[in-house]
Amino acid sequence: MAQYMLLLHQVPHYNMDLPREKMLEMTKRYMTWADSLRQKGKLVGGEKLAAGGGRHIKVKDGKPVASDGPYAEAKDVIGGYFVIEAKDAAEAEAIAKDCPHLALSPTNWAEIRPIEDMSQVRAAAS
Amino acid sequence: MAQYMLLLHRDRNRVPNLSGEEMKEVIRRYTAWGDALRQKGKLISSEKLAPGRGWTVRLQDGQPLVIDGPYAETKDVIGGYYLIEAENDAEAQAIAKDSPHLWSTNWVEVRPVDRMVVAEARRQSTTA
Repeated sequence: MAQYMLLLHQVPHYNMDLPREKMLEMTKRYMTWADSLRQKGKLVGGEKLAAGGGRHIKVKDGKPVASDGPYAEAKDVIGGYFVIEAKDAAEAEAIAKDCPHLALSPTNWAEIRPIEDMSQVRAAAS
Repeated sequence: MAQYMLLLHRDRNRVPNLSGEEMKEVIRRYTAWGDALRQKGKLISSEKLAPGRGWTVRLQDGQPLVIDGPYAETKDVIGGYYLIEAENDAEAQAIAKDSPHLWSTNWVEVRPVDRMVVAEARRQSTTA
């Protein structure tokens, strides 16, 4: 088994002005999907990220500086993620294709990224 | 305590020219930093994403379309993440500022995790 991260991309604030009920309805679709993955032993973790409050840390003149970041002009933000288990890339793809994120807005998309096995990364660096 | 996600961004066009030994040193810095956070009870999870590998999925005419490569639209890629616990925004930012990821043109995106909506949806579902 391998692990994959699904990064859920969206247009910033596309869901900010939705009524609370609609927001909860959407959240339940993700939740139901995640619960069924978990029951199959395919879900490792996942979180919804808050639409606001993001900060951007960058080194400037040798010092880390926090700013509101590029969010004002950003065309794409990450709204949340799932970490899944899949036996190969094909299975990870099939799981991603089924994620409710895609159907909730035509501008939503998912990025599938293989996770590196940290025990191997650590062994290689030691 | 609140949770925050630190997304580790880098410019995919700037591949650092490091020797094998230097690369190992960089990895050791990340793992040592993560280990220290974990010992303080501040690290929930973290992963390194495989560089240069990934796919994007979106719906086109109602059908999921998979494109090879995560980088079609941007020169910015995410190399990994830390999911942390912090008292508040200020502590999350202080932790991010101390991150070994801040070298070269790398940057860290600090995002509060939204557990409220999920918890409320969960409550409604179980009482429904």
